[in-house]
Amino acid sequence: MRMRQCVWGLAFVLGSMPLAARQQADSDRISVPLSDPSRPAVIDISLVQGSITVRGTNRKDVAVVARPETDRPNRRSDPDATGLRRIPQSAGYKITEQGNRIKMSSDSPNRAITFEIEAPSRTNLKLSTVNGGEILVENIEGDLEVSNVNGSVTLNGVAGSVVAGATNGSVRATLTRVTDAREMAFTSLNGTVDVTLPPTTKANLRLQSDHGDVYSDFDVQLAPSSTPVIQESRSSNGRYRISRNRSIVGTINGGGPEFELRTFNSNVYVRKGR
Amino acid sequence: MAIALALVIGPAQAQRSSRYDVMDDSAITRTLVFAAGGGRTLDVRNINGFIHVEGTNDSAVQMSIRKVIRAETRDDLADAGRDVRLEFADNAPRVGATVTDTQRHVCGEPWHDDDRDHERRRPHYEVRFDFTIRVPRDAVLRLCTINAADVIVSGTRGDFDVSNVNGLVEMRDVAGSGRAHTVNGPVTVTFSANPKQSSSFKTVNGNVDVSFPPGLAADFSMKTFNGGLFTDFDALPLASTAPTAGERRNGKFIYRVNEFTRVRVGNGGPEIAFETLNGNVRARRAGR
Repeated sequence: MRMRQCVWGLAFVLGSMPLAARQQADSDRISVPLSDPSRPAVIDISLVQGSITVRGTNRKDVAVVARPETDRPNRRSDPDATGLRRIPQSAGYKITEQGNRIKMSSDSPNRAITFEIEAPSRTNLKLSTVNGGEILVENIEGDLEVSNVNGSVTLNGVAGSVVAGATNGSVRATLTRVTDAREMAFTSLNGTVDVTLPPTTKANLRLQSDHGDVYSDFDVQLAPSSTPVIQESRSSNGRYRISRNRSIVGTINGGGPEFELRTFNSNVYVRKGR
Repeated sequence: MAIALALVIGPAQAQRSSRYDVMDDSAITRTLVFAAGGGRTLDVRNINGFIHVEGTNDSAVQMSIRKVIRAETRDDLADAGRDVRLEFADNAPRVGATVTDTQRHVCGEPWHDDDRDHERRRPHYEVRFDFTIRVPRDAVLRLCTINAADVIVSGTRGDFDVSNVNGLVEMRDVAGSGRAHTVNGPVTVTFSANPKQSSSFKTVNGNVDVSFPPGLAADFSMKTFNGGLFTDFDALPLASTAPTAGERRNGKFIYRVNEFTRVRVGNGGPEIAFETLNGNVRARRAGR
């Protein structure tokens, strides 16, 4: 099933379009079958402009709603277009599936697109965007690799292993289960890092906020070496260098794989889930 | 391919005076007659130089050609005269002129050379043909050039296939349907009667500006990468031409929505494509 309707302004649509159709968002619905539904899929999306939402449900295929957004007028106006109306454009895009690997991409880095996806709960994700969008993942179990530059990353009720990063947005994650012996990272530069882990999670935490604070309700056993980690080196030109790593290093529930939670200009929260 | 040849025999203007000391400037005029009872097509394949075509009420084609050879030495000039040929087709349904270079390249036809060949045969001359043509206005046009030139057509009524690479395409007061394409330069077309078949106006670097008389019924398919689409038609948005479901080929599922923005003008009709990469697209209603 497929719907597409752009609303451009009254001049374009008056008279010939039923009102109901005009109010629908510009969107396409696509069902992407998996080559082998008994194995988990990988969803791989890399955008320059746009948002991505992935929700896990009890299904065998991957359902995609793609919403290409119409573009805004260019800052440089066209003097020869005086008396003409601008026709908004939207990005073209492509979705492919081969061997359970689903790739989605946009044709245009200038025009935003939103992908809203429903996937089997057990799915691996590799998601990234740069501008004008958020990434939201809910109820997915798998290897999750998610990054956003100018927006946030939110992972609700996910399980498995996570590498999540944002530059100018926050990273918020609630994990219901963690894969044993897998390292994880939750990092931002200018945003908050807020991670909720199952209460029994065994991990070595490496926590750092350069210009903020680190909070936790876990019983974090600070490692003796959590007193500064000093690295010494002598470079080829003979310069001797001592650098001190400011991370807080500690274990929860006796320790395990390393989880890094780090931001530069905000706070880090490590919360004990219920 | 076209670009490669451009580098070989189309050096920058500034170099010419210093590199080429010998010049030969000549004029050629020909009258070409269509054979009775067939279609009437004017077919001009140039490489370096402009093509200007004007529609007339005459029954024959009048060609004035200026041929300029620039060469390093007298011997090179003689080589140029042998290597670069101008051949005419006359007394046929399809009349016209074809320029071929030393490797028998023809504008608009596939070129098969290997790069070593290019190096070895780098010519010591440059040959330019500028075509000024008067054609019966209902003739079908096939015009093609590549370098350092524009293609300008006015007052014709026949279908057209016009291509350029490094220069503009301009069509004024024309009718018929067809293609007007270039790579580096604008495409500007003013129709005196609306196209009845699918048509295409395309460049890579430049604006596409097409003006239609009242009463147009067509489906526009428009695209630019860096730029905007503009019109003063009361255009209705159409669904883009995507499949309703994806398809699987050789184990790979593909679903694709292309970037063309489609709109319907009037009651819809032939597909008219407007495409550029760096530039604006303007589709205008004439006489407003």
